[in-house]
Amino acid sequence: MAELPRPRSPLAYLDLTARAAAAGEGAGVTLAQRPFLGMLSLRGDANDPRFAAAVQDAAGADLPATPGSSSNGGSVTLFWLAPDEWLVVCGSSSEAADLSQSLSAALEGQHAAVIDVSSGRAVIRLGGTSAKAVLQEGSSLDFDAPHFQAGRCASTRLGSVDVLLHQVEDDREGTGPLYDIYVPRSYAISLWHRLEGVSAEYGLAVSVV
Amino acid sequence: MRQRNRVAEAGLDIDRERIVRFDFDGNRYEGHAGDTLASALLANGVSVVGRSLKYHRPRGVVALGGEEPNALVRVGLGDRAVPNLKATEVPLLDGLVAESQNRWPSLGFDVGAAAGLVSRFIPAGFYYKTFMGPPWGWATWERHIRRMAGLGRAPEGRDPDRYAKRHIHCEVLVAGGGPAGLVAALAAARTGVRVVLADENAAFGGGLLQVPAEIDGKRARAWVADIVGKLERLGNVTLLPRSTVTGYYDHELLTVAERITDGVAAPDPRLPRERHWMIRARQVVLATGAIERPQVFAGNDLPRVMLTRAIRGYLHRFGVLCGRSVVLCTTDDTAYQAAVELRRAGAAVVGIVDSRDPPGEEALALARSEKIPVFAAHIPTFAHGRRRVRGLEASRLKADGREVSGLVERFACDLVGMSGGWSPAVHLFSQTGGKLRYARRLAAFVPGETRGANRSAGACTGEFDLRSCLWQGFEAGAAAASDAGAAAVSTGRADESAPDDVISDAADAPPVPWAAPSRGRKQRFVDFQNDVTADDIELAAREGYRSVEHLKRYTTLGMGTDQGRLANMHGLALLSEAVSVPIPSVGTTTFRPPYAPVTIGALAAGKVGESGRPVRQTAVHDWHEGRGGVSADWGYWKRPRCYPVEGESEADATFREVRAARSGVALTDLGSRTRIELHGIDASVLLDRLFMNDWPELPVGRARYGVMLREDGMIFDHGVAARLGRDRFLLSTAGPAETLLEHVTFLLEAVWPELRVFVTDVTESWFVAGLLGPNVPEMLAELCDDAAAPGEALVMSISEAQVAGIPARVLRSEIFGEPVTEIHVATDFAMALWSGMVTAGGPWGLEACGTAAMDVIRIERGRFALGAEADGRTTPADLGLASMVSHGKDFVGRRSLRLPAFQEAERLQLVGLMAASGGDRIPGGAQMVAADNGGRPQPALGHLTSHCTSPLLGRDIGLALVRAGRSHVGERLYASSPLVGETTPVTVVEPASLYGQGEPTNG
Repeated sequence: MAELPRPRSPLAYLDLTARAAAAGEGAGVTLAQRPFLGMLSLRGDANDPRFAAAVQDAAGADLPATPGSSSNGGSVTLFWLAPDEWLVVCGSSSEAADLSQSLSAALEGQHAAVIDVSSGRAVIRLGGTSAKAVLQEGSSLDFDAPHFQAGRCASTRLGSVDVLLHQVEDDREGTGPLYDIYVPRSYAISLWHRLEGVSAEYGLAVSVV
Repeated sequence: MRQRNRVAEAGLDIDRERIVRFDFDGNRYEGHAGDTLASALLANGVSVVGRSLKYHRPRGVVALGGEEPNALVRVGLGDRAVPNLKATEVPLLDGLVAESQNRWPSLGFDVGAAAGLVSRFIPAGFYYKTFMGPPWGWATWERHIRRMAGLGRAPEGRDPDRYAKRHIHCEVLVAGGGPAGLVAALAAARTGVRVVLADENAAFGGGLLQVPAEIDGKRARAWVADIVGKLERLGNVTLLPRSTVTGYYDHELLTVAERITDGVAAPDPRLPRERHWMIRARQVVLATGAIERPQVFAGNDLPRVMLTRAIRGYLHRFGVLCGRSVVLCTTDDTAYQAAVELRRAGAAVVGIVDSRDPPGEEALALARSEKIPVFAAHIPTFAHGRRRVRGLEASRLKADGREVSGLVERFACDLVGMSGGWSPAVHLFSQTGGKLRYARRLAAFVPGETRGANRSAGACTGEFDLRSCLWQGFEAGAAAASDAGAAAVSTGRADESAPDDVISDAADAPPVPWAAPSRGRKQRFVDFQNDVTADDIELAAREGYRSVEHLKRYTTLGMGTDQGRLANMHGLALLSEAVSVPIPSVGTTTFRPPYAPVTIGALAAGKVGESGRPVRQTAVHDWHEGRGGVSADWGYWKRPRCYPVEGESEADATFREVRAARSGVALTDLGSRTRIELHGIDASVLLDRLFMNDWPELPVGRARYGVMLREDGMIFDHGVAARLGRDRFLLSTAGPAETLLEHVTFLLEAVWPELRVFVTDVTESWFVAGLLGPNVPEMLAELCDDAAAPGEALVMSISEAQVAGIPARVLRSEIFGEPVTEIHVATDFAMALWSGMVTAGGPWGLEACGTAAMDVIRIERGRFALGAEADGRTTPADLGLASMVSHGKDFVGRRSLRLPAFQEAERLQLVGLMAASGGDRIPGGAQMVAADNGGRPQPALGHLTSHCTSPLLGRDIGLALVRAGRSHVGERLYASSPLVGETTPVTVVEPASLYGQGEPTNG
């Protein structure tokens, strides 16, 4: 098979490299894009032990059963989205394609679905000492522990945009927590503009992954 | 100018070393850092700071803080000007520019007041009377009223500042940072729960900052600093100074308006001007304090007739002595300590006029020791002076304590203090629906039965003794934390915060009578801001406005920026007297948020521009931009309308693009089209029930067009379903994905839970390029690796292929009756696909094609669009699709189609329109009428839904919904737009026959 053309990330339009160069000092907020992750939409019956077992087998991670939880296994993370819906995130779209095949094979015969949605979301990594304040501008969720902490995820709205929020790390060394914001691709640039605007008062540093 | 009222004593808030220059009404003044605009004006001897709303009476500063009714000023210039600020709340900054309001031509000489024009013509209920009067009344009065009445002017230009919003959660929110609030916050915070303490002032301490006081043997300020320090160190307390709790909503959602940069010297330019906090608390402690009331007597609105607490506060905080010769009028002990302080600062206290007989013993002793004359059983009846008070008359009360005798004391003075009792600030408490109780002892309403998880503590409960306030605060804070689920109990000792020595403002006696008797035509003001007098209230009662809610609306009592904080109690007490109903039965008006004015900027924070209305971009948006694509809104999406090249009009560009679709290749961005995947063994059954048309089993790899209805039989969406595998379908529709998902999810969960189908929105994961035109097959053959080029495939089929080296799904279907080839690729490769096709398409006459060209193609084919023809009120039969409706199966909306109303011949039906000649323009938004009668009214037969200039027909064409439209085919109607004053004759045709009317060679 011929080599694929170069893919283009959802935020390529913004020229993040130029923005990264312009960053000031003492930034309270850091923003970066995590481009080209692999993503699968996984549907099935959480109450069916065969389903959970098959997912565990193929993905190498437990099936998160409680709302707002996630699980990790190797490079694969599973997010609970709804009682019968999960988002599987892995390192690349080719990894997602392989995982899709193995999951589909493991779930053969069950009422389940595995759909590759790798290109569908932009992932923005938000960090810094004021990261929480940035989220609190647009979302009314309680972001303090134990209500929200590392490993938790939530489908919520940031301003007018529906997103999936994932707290990647707690604030361990006073550098602030880390969040990943999964946003539908077409909204990504608008959301980025909003995050930039909100971050302005804390000082913003853009980094390129 | 000298600050002639500044004295050496006190002035704890100001830095005497730092001079601040400011400008008021064009005059330069000096003040000190730490001043408010009000204190600086008082220091400079400025008495008149504004004119009143209705009567344009000269007014001065009355109060110390947010309860100020008179001193409303416009601060700043141009687009940063803010009207209606209370001078008492404006921190003084170097270079501050402020102006008074409501005066014309100037503050000193006001035409309205000088001519005495206004007062005789604006009695209570003036607006009501004008509206109810003869129709010429308002027209006559409006011009005058507009100039004379009303508050300040709006700023010029667009607001240049940023406003922010933040949502937070806490276990205990304390509203008010006075002594009770501080102690409550500390007690709650020591249990470890999250606490928020908000206060409207820049510094915490509330009333403790206004008067000399000691707690725990410390000066009050040191004690406050100590508590604030403890709160800061605890780490679980969010301290919000300069933050007014404006609203208390259900389930303990409170809104707080924080002022950040206004009134701050050289603020960090990155900071927002204000932040609107939405705080969800588990428990709330209300420690909102109390507000001193004025007294009602003739001339009580003269400048330098002030609240006694304010006079003390200006001395203690700012070292400003508001007058040299003072009379203090009181109904309780409040005035006596003030008299001592004023005397020590150098003023002559001419007398204390006390309505009680006898006054409190301790108070009397204090006055005696300072040799201050006390006039017991006296009330003020008349203050005189022109631009500031010059003298006061007080009358002795008769033995019944309700009427005045003929005995009058006359004082020459330049300052009058009023303390007509204290009104607890119960606004937030009332906003929750809590019931108020009338406390006869205080002659005030206090919190009664509460609704919601809140407690009141301190002066807002009617408890004015400092020691008791602190105890209440501590207990409320600890109990709130415990009710909010705190694991620990408050670790502090209760007595740690208990005071050893307090000086309190005890307030025991009700003011009797509520108003001094009237005195000729001299007005006795109850509500300064709205110019409501005691006579207005009596008049309103006589005219039948016996309910306090009616009184408020009729007289405007208690409206405006201060919401009657000084006026309400007197107003309803006077109403109670006028209608002979006890005060508790009169009740109060309903307190509603906001407690204090909130800027629109703060309310709109985060909802302005792109933040409020996000923009959705397809993955090749920047290509469109680069080609001059004219952006058009389609929901949140931005889509290119057309791509004019240099010197080309939009109409010409659209023509060129349509020509490409007919003679070469048209490439169009379908990235915003809805795509949903259906998975499961019942997917085919689901589609069968969603679509109104027959749905025989679809072989894998094939596709079919269908129309969906709502349950009420109206057209909902339409599109193509393609079978990707045995249990797997792709549904591509014209309507928004969110609506379709909601529709299908509802049906699956509520109506057919037995169907085993998963529905997943994949709109964002796939980019779709649409190709139209005769050269598409050849072009694709060149672009695709394999020999079985998708161009050769059957219409209405889906297959996989490599297009421009990218794995793709190729869907061959029809759009508006024209064959279209859709190339679906992972969105990451959208730009690669798009550029690849643009490059390859050159020899085949490829043009990028915007929505306008697609619309032309649609209208020429007589096809309906969602929103235009399928506007949520049209059935399949209305749009001429009756023959498509299945008779052999059940589907969503089927039953509704049989409703008799939907069979009526007079329903609006879709027709095509052709302008009579090539030069005639069909006006947008036209109504369809039977005759061109020169614009006179006539019944509309229907309305235009879509129109364009057709390159195929060489004239304007359109689609319209017309009553019994199909019966008009062949007739002449008129498309008439009264808005643009155009009427165009049109011929009615079958929609589908529009295309056939064209010359094939034009295509």
